Amino acid sequence: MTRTDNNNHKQVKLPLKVAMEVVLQGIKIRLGRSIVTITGVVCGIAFLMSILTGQMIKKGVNDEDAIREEVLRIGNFVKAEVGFLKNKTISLIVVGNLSEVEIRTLESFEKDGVQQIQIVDDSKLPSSLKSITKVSNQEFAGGESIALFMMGDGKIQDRDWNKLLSKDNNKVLATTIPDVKIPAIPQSQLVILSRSWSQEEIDKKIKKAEQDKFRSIWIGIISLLVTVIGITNAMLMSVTERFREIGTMKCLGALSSFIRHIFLLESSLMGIVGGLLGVIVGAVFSILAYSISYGFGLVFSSVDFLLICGFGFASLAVGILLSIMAALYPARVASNMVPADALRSNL
Amino acid sequence: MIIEKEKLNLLFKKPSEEKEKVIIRGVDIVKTYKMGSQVTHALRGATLDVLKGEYLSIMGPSGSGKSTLFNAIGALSKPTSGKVYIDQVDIAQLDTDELAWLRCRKIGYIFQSFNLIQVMTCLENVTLPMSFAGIDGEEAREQGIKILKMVGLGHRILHKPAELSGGQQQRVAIARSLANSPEIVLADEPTANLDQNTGQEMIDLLCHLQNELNVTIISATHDLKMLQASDRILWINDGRIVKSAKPDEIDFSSDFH
Repeated sequence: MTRTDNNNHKQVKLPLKVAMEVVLQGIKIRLGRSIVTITGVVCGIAFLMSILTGQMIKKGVNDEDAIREEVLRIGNFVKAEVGFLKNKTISLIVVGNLSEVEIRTLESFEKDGVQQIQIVDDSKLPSSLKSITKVSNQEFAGGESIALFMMGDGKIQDRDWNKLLSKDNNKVLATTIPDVKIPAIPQSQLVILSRSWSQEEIDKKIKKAEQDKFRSIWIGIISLLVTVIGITNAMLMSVTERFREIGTMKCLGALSSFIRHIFLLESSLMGIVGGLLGVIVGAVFSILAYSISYGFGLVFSSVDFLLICGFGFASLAVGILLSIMAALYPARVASNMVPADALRSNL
Repeated sequence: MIIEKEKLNLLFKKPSEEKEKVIIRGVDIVKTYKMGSQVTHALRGATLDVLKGEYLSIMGPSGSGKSTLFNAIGALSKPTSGKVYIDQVDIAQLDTDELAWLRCRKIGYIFQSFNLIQVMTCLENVTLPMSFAGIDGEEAREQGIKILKMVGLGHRILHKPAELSGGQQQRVAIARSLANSPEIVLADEPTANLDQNTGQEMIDLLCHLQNELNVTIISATHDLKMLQASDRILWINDGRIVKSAKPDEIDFSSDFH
């Protein structure tokens, strides 16, 4: 049988082209189901891609999230201490530079409708505050003012606090000024707005991040598994539908490997198309979703397009690999079929 | 007991010792199917020789094991026990790829329901087995057109099977079976799905092939005309070959069943 071996070797190359033709015709004929199967791949890969891209964007917007949370917390705190700020006047001492949280807090005051800020000591205000009337007031922070805010990272200078706080009930609200311990101000009047994290809280945060990560991995795996099962099912149906065709081809002398190639090729084609679409859909979807809540600018600044390309290739590879994996069993079923059995089938 | 002795002799005699060239030899072929706990005996020891270049018809009632015998001698399934030699090669010794090679080069198959690949044109259907044999491109195309012209379909080479009549489809199937110039053509009730006239055309075509190309033709059939056209008829009943005769020895009007 040496002649056979030589010819088998020769047979391998040519029919790959034929197999490709058979596959393309098969996809065309069963277009409806092919599309459904491909949609399954698209969904699975889009999900994977959106998880990957989302996590990348999230890293970028995490700080933003923390700032927002902090601003919100400070705002609530202020409301609890001095009431609503609408149409009110506040006083402000700024020492050194304002942090992002402090600038945002002031901006949120503007949104809340603060009418006037009495600026003590030539303090510099962020330029974004436009609708608030700014009054320079060297000495006096009382009068209309309902509260005195201390902000910035500098060291506060000693002054005549009694004069500054003419009203007894005037609150002093300090944000992040380090060690605001001014003996002249009674403890009942001083409120520290900034928050210090306890170890317990930090641990909790880390734990939550880990849980989130675990959950997204878990959901990702499940969705990919569903995709694999979907493809396997579709390919098994394809095998059943093609019983007669496979049997005929085997009678005509097709090698088992040819039959196997048909199914693996069909599946990897679906993997390529579905994977490509999935990568695009997933990336666009997650960028859009984050853009809605964080704005395009921030999201785009935190998107690393090289990394997205990397994720894209990885997801595409996963898509193709899973598609081929899903087709392994159906392809084996088809190629191991005895031609006589395949022909007898009336499907 | 005499029959048993004959069988034993056949088992130990090498096929090559024959004077007349035997192209297919089946010795005591047994085939059983298991359906759950039930065992079905499709063949209970069929022994036969097919000579090179002859036109052999196999007939028998449905369920007699006709198709099973057909599959066994056509290398489409391996028997449970017994030997099948095709061109002096014991097919039990071949692996699946070698069997594929055998089906590709040595045997052409014609089916009752044509079994053409519906999505391919006539020409593609005919060149498909050629590509399995490693022939492709212009060479395969020319050969395919030549064969299609021979079966009288030179004007229909680019049509899809669905666009053809039953007779034309069976012609394509015959053309396909001849793609790799096989020595044996196996036809499983090739006229069963055709009307009288078209059936006669198929018979003429098969006889033409037998005479011109010296192909061995084995067909399972109920068709009287096919039986009359063949060189030899085998009767099979209940998994055994019960009778072998030439058509002129049989009175078709009374002796039929």
